[in-house]
Amino acid sequence: MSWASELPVELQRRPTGLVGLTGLDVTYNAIHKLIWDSFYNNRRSDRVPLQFKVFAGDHEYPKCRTNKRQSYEWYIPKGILKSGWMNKHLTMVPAVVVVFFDLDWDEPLWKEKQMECATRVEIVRNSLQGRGTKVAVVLIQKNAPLPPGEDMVAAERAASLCSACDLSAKQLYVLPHTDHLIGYTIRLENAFYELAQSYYHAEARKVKSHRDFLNKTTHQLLFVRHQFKIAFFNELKQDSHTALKHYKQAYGHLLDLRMHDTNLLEIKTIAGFISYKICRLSFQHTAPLDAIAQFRKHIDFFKSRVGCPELAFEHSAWMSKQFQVFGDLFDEAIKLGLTAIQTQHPGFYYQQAANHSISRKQLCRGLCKPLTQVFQPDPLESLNHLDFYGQRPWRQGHQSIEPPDVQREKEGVMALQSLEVTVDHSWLIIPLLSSAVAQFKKYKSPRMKRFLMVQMGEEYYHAKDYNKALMLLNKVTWDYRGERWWPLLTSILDISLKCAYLTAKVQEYVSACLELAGPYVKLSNEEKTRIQMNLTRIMSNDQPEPEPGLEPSCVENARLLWQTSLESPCVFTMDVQNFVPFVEYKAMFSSETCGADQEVELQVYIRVNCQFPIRFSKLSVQLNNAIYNDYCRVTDGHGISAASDGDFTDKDLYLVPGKTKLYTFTFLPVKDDINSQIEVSSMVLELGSETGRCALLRWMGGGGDALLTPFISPQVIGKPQIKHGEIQWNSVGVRPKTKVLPRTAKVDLDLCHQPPCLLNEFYFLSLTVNNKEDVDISNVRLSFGVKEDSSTNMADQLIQVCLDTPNLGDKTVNRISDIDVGTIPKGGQCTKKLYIKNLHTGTRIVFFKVEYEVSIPSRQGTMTCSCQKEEELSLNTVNPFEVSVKLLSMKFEALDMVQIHEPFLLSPELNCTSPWTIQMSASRLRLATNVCHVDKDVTSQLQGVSLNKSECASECFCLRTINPSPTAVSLGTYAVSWRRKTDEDIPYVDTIFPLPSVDTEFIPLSVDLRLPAFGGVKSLLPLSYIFQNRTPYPQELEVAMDTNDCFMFSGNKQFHFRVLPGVPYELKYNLFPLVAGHVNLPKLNFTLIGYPDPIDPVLQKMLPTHIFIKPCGKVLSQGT
Amino acid sequence: MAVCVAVIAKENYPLFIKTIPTDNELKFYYTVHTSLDVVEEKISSVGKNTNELRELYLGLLYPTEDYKVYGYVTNTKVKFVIVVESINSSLRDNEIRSMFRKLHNAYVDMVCNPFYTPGENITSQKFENVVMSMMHD
Repeated sequence: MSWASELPVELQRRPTGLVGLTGLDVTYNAIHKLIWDSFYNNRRSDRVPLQFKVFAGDHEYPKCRTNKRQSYEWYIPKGILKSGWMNKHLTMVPAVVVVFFDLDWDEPLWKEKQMECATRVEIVRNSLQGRGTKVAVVLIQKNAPLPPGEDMVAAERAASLCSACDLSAKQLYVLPHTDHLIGYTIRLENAFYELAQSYYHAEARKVKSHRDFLNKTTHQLLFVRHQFKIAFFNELKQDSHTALKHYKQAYGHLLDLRMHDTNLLEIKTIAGFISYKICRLSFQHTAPLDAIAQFRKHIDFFKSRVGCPELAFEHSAWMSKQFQVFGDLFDEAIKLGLTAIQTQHPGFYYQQAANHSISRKQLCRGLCKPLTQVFQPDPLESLNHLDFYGQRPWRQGHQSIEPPDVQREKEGVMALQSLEVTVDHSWLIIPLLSSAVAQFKKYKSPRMKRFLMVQMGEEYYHAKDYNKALMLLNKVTWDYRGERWWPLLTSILDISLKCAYLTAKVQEYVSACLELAGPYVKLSNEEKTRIQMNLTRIMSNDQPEPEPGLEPSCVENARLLWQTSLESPCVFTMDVQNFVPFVEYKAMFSSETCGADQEVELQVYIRVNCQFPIRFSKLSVQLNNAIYNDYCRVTDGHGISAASDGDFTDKDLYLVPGKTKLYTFTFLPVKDDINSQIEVSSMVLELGSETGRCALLRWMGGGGDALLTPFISPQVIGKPQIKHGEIQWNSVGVRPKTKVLPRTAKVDLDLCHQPPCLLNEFYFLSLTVNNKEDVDISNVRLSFGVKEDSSTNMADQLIQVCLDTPNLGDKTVNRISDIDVGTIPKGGQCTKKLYIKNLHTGTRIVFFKVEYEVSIPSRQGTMTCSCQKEEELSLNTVNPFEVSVKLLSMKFEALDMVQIHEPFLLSPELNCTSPWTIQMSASRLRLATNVCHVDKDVTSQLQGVSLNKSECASECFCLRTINPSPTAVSLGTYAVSWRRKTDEDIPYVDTIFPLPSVDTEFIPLSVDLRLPAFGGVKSLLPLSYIFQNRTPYPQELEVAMDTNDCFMFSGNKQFHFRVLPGVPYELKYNLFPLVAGHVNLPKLNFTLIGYPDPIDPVLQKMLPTHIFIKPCGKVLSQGT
Repeated sequence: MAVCVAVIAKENYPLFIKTIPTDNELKFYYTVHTSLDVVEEKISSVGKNTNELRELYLGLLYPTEDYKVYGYVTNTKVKFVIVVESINSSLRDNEIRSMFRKLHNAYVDMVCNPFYTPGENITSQKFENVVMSMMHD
């Protein structure tokens, strides 16, 4: 019966003024077509709101009633609003008719053309007789117009044309079809728009003027009608504010009408229309609160006005439509920028619309039945083309309180009822609910959304689309379960169960049963028992009993479906986190950790909370390592319906409600799992048999309570309490993992060494492995090396290790792994020599690891366990000695500069800092290229020397620089071969010290004094000075010998001579010592001619200053 | 006066729901449950400026055609919901407030019972009597 509440299309569209275009031949004339297109196409919002229509020149417009009523005295209105009226003014009666005519100002046949045009205008005028429609003429011209006032011919001809056609100058337009057609079009349509506005304004005034003729007793309907018309004309005029005012007046007049069952439908229909317009305009004026208030008022007024009780469903339909339409308006306003809030948005209106549709459906169920006879004539014949909106088709125009023909009225009502029966209400309700769902989702109301989804599901159920219903309900049960609204969940599950039954969906059926028979669901125990019995039936391959309250035809259908589904076996898995079944499970490893040689114990606790005992067929626990799964399995050999034989065995899956049952599994961990965790990944409980129907209930992880209740403190895992011989479920904890630790090794690692380690030496360690096991250990492997230190990679290169013999390969080895030691007998031991060479001082961590296998007796014979032990050693490395190097002149005086070609002394001194005695084997100088030994044979003076702590050793080398050298010379390195003094046969190692670099200076001349080691009093002492010229040029030298009291001498006292390059010059003196003792030699003074610096101090340094003179001994022979 | 009184736990599950008439209990359950959307929204919008003390009474949650739903949240986030018939327009805001106060007092008395574990369904006869008095006034 949607016909009465449906809003007509013309009411819903936005009214726009109608402009008729005549004289355009859009089919054959390309220019006309172009002009039409420019008017008709692209009507965007920035163009004036007009609607254009092409009419033929001689088009017949709807006739205006010619006999204008002067008095309404005898006029009785037959209804409120004629159904054709709006459409007439929207599409048939134009506000403006435009006559297009091809005519240029310079037309040669002007007179004839002017006549033709006038005729056309006349024809249009005639067909519009009596209407206030404006007429305008547009001349289509080929030439662009001249500026106004310049074309005298045009002005004159325009005036003549106006008078010929009886037009005002403002109604004649020119349209040159040049490039700027659209610009001209827009100007033209603006002009037409003005004309149209004045037309609609006049029309509205015309209607208003009727008012004086009306009286309140007989013309009440006309008050409404006229106000509606005025408002509508104003809308056409685009004056929405005035329109709104008049719609409101119309609504006010409408509510004043006398309402009775016969005219209520008409009043409600029109009230719906007017209210729609008011709300729509209010939203348009961004006054949403006005719109909402109007709608509330509207609904509150009419909500209780049901009308004819036999047709109460009509009222619900009307209500539903009101809400739906308002929801649409609201939604549209939101799309245009209005913001809605959580408690006020279109969703509520859609929801109410749906609710009213639901009550319509219920009313229809109660009231309507199909017709049993055919009425002649059909009372609903004119249902779809009524003269007035909202009237009964069988008594149109009738306005009295009582129906004219009671029999006819009855027939009409029955016909309407039978029409209602054919409506499928569910498909009206579901889209409304779906719109509401979308809105509530948008406005953050998840629970309301879910509630609506439940309603949708129920509606699908009523519409017998059980699959869809089931799907929708499945989507929301999770949330209701999560929030623990059991009563709501129960009602949803109840429908799900019915749907699952009717579609013979085994899995859904079983899952609903498992939950419905559980403790949380608010159902009576009898109900639960019935459901559990059905579950037992289905799992033992029987048909379940139908749910109560189902239609017999559907049940029959379902039986057939079950029949076919029973023929094929069906195994399915259900994840328990998706629902709350009546079975609960907890898994617990007996301890947090477990040795590799011990058995792991896994306890599985299961409890059911259903009405009567149930027997599962199989229990299997899956662990992260599938190897153990075989150990964790229980199979019940009995059928599902077998009763308990009384004794509770471990191999039996017969569960009694409320009693916790414990299954214990033990197994030995495998080698691969050492140092990792054994974890329960899932537990599967099978119900039914694999050959028929089998439900696999799968719990992930260690399970737990079916419902976690708040306020329960975290569980302390201890031993489950047992009261009266029953395990207390709540005291059972969950421990889904256990860690497998390696078996503790029973070996000792003894390290023997003498710290600290000396830098660079082969540090000797002796590692002894003592077998403390009760049996032999085999496959013993040793590893040792530097503890990985991620922070410094340098350490890797600065320490090296080797085994047995102190030899280092080319490669840097800082760890040696898996040294095979073989088998060590019980109580035996094994020693290994290890050497570490450390190239850096400081502390290092060195590790020693021993791994081995041992066979130990266990329940299933012997088992091999691998064990390992690791020890760490913190090793400190110190310098064995320090070296200081001294440079000395030949007179053992400290030197700060070395003269080129002149010999000097190098004296390294070793200071032992090692706490252990060290032993030197040799020392070597590795000299740089421009330094050489003065002596031919150089032997180390340190050979075989041993130093204790704080002792020193020093040696001396005589060197000289060769070649022309730079000002600074690096001398080279000094290497010492040494080792720790020990009984062990360890090799000597070389420690190399860099020698300092020295500054050099060049001197032009050198002198050497050759004299005996000592002299004797009064015996001849010959001296010989030898001069060498180091330059390539001859040098002139002047020498003078000082006198000295201690000597007499012979030779030149003062002498001038020349020293040639490359040839030594010898100057000889004979001295005659006068006194004994350590005496000063007479000083020879030098002056180098032509050399700016004084040479004397330089040369004096090369010469000895003293000599020892022996006294002349007493000649014994003379005395005796 | 009231046709439905509900106490909802902090975690949004029902602790106590009483309705009159009892025949359409489920509908009221849904009404109360869906009203939690608005309650949650109101609580969370206040939570943003925490220094402001939140008023416990939330006022009208949302109107349905036939009923008005009012809400109240204690400081421990226990929610009270009262549903009254829309026809009963004589009820003033003050009266609703006093009903909630009464309910809150009764709830506090009930929680003080050492044998009651918070979070359990409310079974106290005394509490129920208070609720019944609010529904029959």
